[in-house]
This record gives sequence, structure tokens and C-alpha cells, in this order.
Amino acid sequence: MSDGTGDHAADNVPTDPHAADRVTDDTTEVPAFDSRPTRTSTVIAVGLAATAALVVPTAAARLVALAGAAFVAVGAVFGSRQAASAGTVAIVAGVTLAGFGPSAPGRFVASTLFALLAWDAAQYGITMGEQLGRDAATARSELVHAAVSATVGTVGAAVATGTYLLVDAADSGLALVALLAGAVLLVSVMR
Amino acid sequence: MRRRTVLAVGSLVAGVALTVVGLRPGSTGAAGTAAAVAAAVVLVVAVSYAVDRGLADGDHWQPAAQESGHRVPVPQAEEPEEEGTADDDGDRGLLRGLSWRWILWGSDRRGGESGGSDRSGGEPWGSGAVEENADDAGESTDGPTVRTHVTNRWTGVAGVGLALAVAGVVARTPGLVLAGAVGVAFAGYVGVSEPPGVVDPETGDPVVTVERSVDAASLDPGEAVTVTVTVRNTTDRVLSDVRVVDGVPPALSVTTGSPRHGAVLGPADETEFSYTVTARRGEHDWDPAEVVLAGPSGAVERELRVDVATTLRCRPPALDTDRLPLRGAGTQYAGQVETDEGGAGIEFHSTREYRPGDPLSRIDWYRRAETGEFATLAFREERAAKVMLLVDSRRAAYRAPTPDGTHAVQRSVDAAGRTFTALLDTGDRVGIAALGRAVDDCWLPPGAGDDHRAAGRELLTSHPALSPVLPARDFYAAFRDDRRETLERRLIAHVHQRLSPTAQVLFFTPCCDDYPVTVARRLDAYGHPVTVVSPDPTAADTPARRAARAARDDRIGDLRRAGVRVLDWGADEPFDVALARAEERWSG
Repeated sequence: MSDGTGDHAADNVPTDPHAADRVTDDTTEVPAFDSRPTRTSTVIAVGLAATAALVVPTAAARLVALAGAAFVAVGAVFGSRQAASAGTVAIVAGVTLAGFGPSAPGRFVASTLFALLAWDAAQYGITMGEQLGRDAATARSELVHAAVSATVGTVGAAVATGTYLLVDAADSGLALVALLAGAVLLVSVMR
Repeated sequence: MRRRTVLAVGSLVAGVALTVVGLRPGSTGAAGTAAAVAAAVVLVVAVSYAVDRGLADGDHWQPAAQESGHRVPVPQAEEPEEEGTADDDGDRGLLRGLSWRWILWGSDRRGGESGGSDRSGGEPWGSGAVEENADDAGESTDGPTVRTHVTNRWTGVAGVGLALAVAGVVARTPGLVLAGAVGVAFAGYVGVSEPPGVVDPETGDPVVTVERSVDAASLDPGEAVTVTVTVRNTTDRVLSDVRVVDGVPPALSVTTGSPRHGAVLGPADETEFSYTVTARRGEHDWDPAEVVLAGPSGAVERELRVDVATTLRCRPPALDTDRLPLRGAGTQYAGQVETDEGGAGIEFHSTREYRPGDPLSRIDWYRRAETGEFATLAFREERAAKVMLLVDSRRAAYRAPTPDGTHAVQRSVDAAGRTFTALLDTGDRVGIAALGRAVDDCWLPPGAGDDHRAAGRELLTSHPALSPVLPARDFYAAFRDDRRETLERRLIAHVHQRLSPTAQVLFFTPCCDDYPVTVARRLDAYGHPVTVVSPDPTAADTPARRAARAARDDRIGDLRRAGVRVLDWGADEPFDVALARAEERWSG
């Protein structure tokens, strides 16, 4: 009784009396809308979150960050923005904890960057899943979105690190203050 | 909600305390690590409420389900008032009273949830869909309606950045401040990235056009139709995030492919996607395609409805004619109903005295040879019937064994369509009427001929009273009960008056309430032989549904005891098989 075709001209008597019956009584299995997060973004989010956690310098902080990465992964796979956001915050908290010990600046920057990109990818995957679903062709949009976000984040990180290296005022703290002031300014402009 | 607020704040405090315990200089080894992990988990739970529920409660637009067609109720003991309205998540907004937004931003950036202001400037913190006219010049024109959804998906990123920077200053770690700069960079990016323009500022036309083609505009039920949708960027800009949800007609269901598509469209670029729907009887108009454009940051989504007129017509099928449950009453036309009157025919009826003018072929030559007398054979006369196909299309008849299954009205109309052509083929005079919303509108008196055939098929295909979609409300719902009963009784009398006195009635109804029983019995009593064809929409998976099935069985029993023929047509049974079974029962 699947998708039988009415093999008769509309106004003529069908040659096979049961041909017409397939029509009315068809119980075609309709695939339900699959609103789970789309695959590409999920993979990107899980990968980036794991990388972010592993880049965190000290061991204790890395544990916290790994817990966060697990939350991001859960959120990205099962479609919970809440879990993804919380996991991202946990990774950042891990970075902050690590910041109270000595380490190279690059790892803090990289970890934060990856964490935020993972958060972005997880949310994008959830949104695409809700709106278009897993069965739609979304991979290209997802890759473009991830690439644009990655570019923005990398440029931001590069500018900040470059400024820091250029000014090289480790003892005066001038660069820190300048960066902080710039950040506040940027946020206020943005609002 | 208050309890959960307390829970969230409590877990936050506990998390902070655990963190302090876990990270104080004295604690080392397993205990310290365990405390730190526990602290992280508790903090994560606390923050998850704060971040998602209180802070980033964005407007996440979700299109209506297009794939599965519309849903109809399953018969059960207490009939549901409404089906398919999924209740909203009423439990949102935890910690709303705490206003984390206020803590982070110093003021409520939500700017009032009424959202009356024009958000086309792209304030990323607002929430709620804002409807605005597409014409940015502010004149009220009849351009396409644009809805703006502020997703709030980046909310908090600036806070994260600032928190990192502050921690970096406190810890005197340059790396943390630099990490904070990343967060702030994202916030700045979201702030400066413009929401995508969805209409051309000069012409007011949408920036994307949608074309839809159906590979066959008219076909039989059950056939698969491929729908191809082309989306084109009419601007010279790159549209980095185009999402399209096609408006599949409610009565059709998508069998393969997806009516949704995501694309990146370069200048004058176009993309194409296709999906397959299974045709069902009726005239189906596509809803406007919903197009969502988002900027690369995705902070603001703008939703646009692009109307593309597409119609699919699907006519009810025809039926093999042999086994039709007509009852013995006919017209003056020759046909297939065997009557009790002697005349020309096939089956022997009686003999009578010869009268001059009787055809030679009917003279009983055996008797002439035996006795020398002339006698004339009379055969059972077969005459054409005058049949009215009455389809119960009241709201109560839209019932199916599963919410997305083929409902009883659909099956009734399909069966009526086949019966209609089959009876016309055998020379009977057939008419069609809908017992429901507008009995006078949907009334085709019995007739014959090609024009009549076309009119009947047209009526079954596209008459709104026989729509495959559940009507929004019951025709008589607005009336009080007693008034309603009067009107319903009057409707039966009205149908009787319009029926020609010799017409018999084939009444298609699922018998899910008592009214069809009354209709059938009364029409029968008025002198129209009634045969009820009852597609069974009941299910047996819950006690309430089993009760509904039992009640329907009772009604059918009542009808049979009252002398009305009933064809009980099971959900999984082909119409032909049901007919054959009924034929056996009736002849036996």
C-alpha cells in the first residue's frame, strides 16, 4: 500500500480494480521533520571545544575546561543552547583559573578563541536544525558562517597580541590598561 | 519559578564556595581536584540558567512544520476540542527577576518587550519579533512584510571578554587580558555587522526571488510530484546566509527530500532544491515561501514571505463498476439495478399472456409447441438508479486513526469519486452533495452525460466544502445546544426536500457521532433507500479510543437494525474489498 500510482486515465474504468485502491488507502510513511542540530556545525563545535579545553595551560584548570567542553558537546549534539552557553562559560572559567599561574599569553588567547568559536558553531547548528533540519542542504552555509567567525576572532586576537608585543610594557602595565580602555570604549561605542 | 530561582542562586553560591575550597593554596591532590571539578559542574549548572534563561532569551524563530501535512483528531471517548496546538514552553524566564542584564550592562538593554521602535538599525540586544514595513523610507506601502528576529545569540560575549580582562588585571597576567580582547572583538563584530537588507531600497522588491515548479500540475491521488524551488539573489551583494522554508500545502505531505534549504548566494547567484510530495485529492495552493536572511554574525535574522502562486490539482480516482451497493429502486432509464418488475432483461421473472406487439424473441416458443398457446416471457427489468452521493464533511467527520493519517472525509470523497464515475459508466443518474458547511453550495443534482461527469469531478476535486483540510470551526459551534439540534434537524428535512423523491442515497460518513445515524434513519424513513458507506477512523491504542470504536460499532449496529445497509470500511481495507465483503453480506 505504499505510494501506488493511479495507473488509469481519470475517467475510464481502471483495468486493475485494485490499482485505484492503493490510492485511497495508502499509508505512506512520511519522514518526520528532523530538527536536531545540523551535522557540520556540531562536528565543528565539538572539535573546537575539545581543542579549547586541551590548550588550557595548567592541569586543574584544564579539568574545569574539559568539563565545560563536555557541556558544549552535549549542547551541540542534543540541541541545548543552555548547555552550550554554560560549557563555554566553564571553559572560559578554566582559562581564568589558569591565568592565576604563569604561562605564555598565546595559549590563553587561543583557548578563548576556540571556546567562543565552538559556542558560535554550536548555536548556529542548533538554529539551523530548528529552522531547516538535518535533511536540508546546509553544509555550505555552516562552513561559510564558521569561516567568517573564525576570521573575525583570529583578526581580533592577532590585533590584540600584536599590540601587546609591539608596546612591550610588561612591567609598566601600560599595554594592559590601554587594551582594557580600548575594550571598554569599543563596547560603549557598540551599544 | 521562584523555587527555581532560589535553586539557581543557591547552586551559584555553592559553586563559588567549592571553588574557593578547591583552589585554596593548602589543598592539593585528589581532594582538591575533586572539589574543583564539583565546583565547575555546579557553576556550569548555575550559569546555564543565568546565561540562557535570564540573559540570552533570544527570539529563536522556528517555522511551522511543513513536512507532515495537517493533523486531525483521532476519535476517542471525550472528543478533543483542539488538536495539534503544542503548548508553549511556559517555564521560561528563570532568573528574569534577577536581571543579569542589569548587572552586566547597567541598564535593561531589552528596551521594552513591546518592541514598538524600529529595529532596522540593528540593536542586537532587543528581543522579540518586530514586524515592520519593508519600505525603509517609512511610507506605508503594500510591500512585503518583513519580520525581524533578534536572536541574542552573542549576548554575554562582551561580558565574557570584560571579565577575562578584569581577571587578567587582577592576576597581572597579560594573556588573560589578550584573551578578553578576543571576546570584545566578537562583541564589536556583532555590534557593527549590519542586519541584512531584505528588500531593495529603491524598488521595494525582495532581494531574493523564489520560483517554484511542479512537474505535473494535475494528477491522480497517490502519485508523487517533484517540486523544484529556485532561489535567486537579485542584488550585487553576497547574501551569506539564506534560509528557505517552502510553504507546502497543509494537506500534502513531503515523502522524500526536504522543503527547506540553506544557501550562500553570490551576486546574481541562484540555488535550486527539490522535494517530493504525495498528491492527495483536492486543489492545493502553496503557501508563501518563508525566506530568512541572516548576516554573517547571525545576531539578527530577517524573515520575509515570498508569495509564489502554485497550485496542484488532484482528482479523485475512478472505480471498477461491478460491485456497487445500490438498492432496488430505479428510474425509467435502463441500467443495472434489478427491479421486481417484469420486462426486458436477462434473469427470468415470469410469463404472461401474449399481447400483440410483444417482440418475437420473447415469445415462449416451448409453450407454443407444447400447448399451442402464445405466451410471453418476462425478465427481471434492470433499470438505472437515481443516486445521491451524500458526503459527511462536517468538522466531526475529520477523523483519522493517527493524527497525520488519511482522514475519513478524504476517504469518503475518494470513494464518492470512484462511485460517481462508475455509476455514470453504467448509465445511472448520480448527484453529489456535501452534508456540512454549505449544503446548498455543494449540491450537484443527479444527472448524466459528459458535462455532468466533469462537473462532478470538479466539485469533488476542489469544492471548499469538501476540503481535505480540517475546517477551522464547527458550522454550528456558535449556537446553543437546543438551537443547534433544531438546525441540525432542519438540515435533514432540507436535504430531503431537495432530493428527488425517487433518489436513493449513498451516505459517506465515519459515524463518529450520533448525527449521521439520525440523518440516515430519517432519510430512509422519508422513503429514500439509504446505504451508509462508513470509513472507519477509529483506533484501539488507548482506552478512550477503544471506547470511541465501541460507540461507533454500536451506531452501526443501530443502523443495521433499523434496516439501513451499512458498509463498514476498515482503515486498512481497500474500498473494493470492503464492497465485495458487504455484497456478500447483503446478498446472503
